[in-house]
Amino acid sequence: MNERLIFNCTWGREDPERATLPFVAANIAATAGQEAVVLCTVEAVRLGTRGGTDGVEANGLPKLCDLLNQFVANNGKIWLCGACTKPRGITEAHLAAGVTIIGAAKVVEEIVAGAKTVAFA
Amino acid sequence: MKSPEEFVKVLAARDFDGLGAMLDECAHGRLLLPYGLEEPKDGNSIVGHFKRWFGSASRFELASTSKEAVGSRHRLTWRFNVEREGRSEVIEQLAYVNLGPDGIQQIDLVCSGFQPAPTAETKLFDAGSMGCADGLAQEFRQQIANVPVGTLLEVVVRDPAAKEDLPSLARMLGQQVRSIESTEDGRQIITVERRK
Repeated sequence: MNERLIFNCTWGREDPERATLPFVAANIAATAGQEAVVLCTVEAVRLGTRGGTDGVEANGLPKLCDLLNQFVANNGKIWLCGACTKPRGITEAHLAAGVTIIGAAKVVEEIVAGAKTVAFA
Repeated sequence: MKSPEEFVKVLAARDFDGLGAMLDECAHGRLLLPYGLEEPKDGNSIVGHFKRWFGSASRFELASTSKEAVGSRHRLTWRFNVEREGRSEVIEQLAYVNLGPDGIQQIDLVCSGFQPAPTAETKLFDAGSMGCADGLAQEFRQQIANVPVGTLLEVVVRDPAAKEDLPSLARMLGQQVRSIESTEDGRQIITVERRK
């Protein structure tokens, strides 16, 4: 049984609050020893590139750059939607540590195996 | 024993006790093996032979079987794909059996011996730069449907999402991912066995 928690993140630096919140929740899960993944789609895929979180900060929330590093250090994983990276010209060469480009089939297989998705923004 | 094909079913399950129960205590066997003839004189000894041949295989799958009545006798064949000490092998046996009131009374068997399994022919599907949202799933499903069950399809992908997706897709379609190999030029070669 797959007990992974997949946190959806669809916003990038154009909305720092919406971009940061899924990482806040996912980092709490990872800190609590849960297998946590942030699944970035649409503009959020840019957050998974090197330097992609620089300057992203919402009032009252931690800097996304620090939060993301902490999340990865807590064994958190970041998946970028392959259909969203492609038109934005993002390749494996651009990715930050702990980040992978995946496709829909991977997500579907995880959910079939018991993973849960969490919308937190 | 209800029917002769039940013998093959029990043999395929390697239920040697069940096999013994299908044989008349005084059953005779004439087993023509690659090295010569064996003539077990009772049911237990016959079962002992099957146990020695098939008991230790780490993989044991019935590949094909047939049955036909020949007058009062029954002609049975079975072919197994096996793995023994890391080697893939195939073995086929043909048996004529006589059924009596207490089970099989006579079994005359010819054995091919364990033969190296033929290496499956591998088909290639180069997915080019196909990724998650441009029809890879559909195309893969079509490609795997075009190779015979038991053979291999080698899928070459370059798209990073496809590298993650293809094994997932294969597994969800009930196929087996045999190996994943990354090349220096950034491609990934995923070998999938069609299982159904």
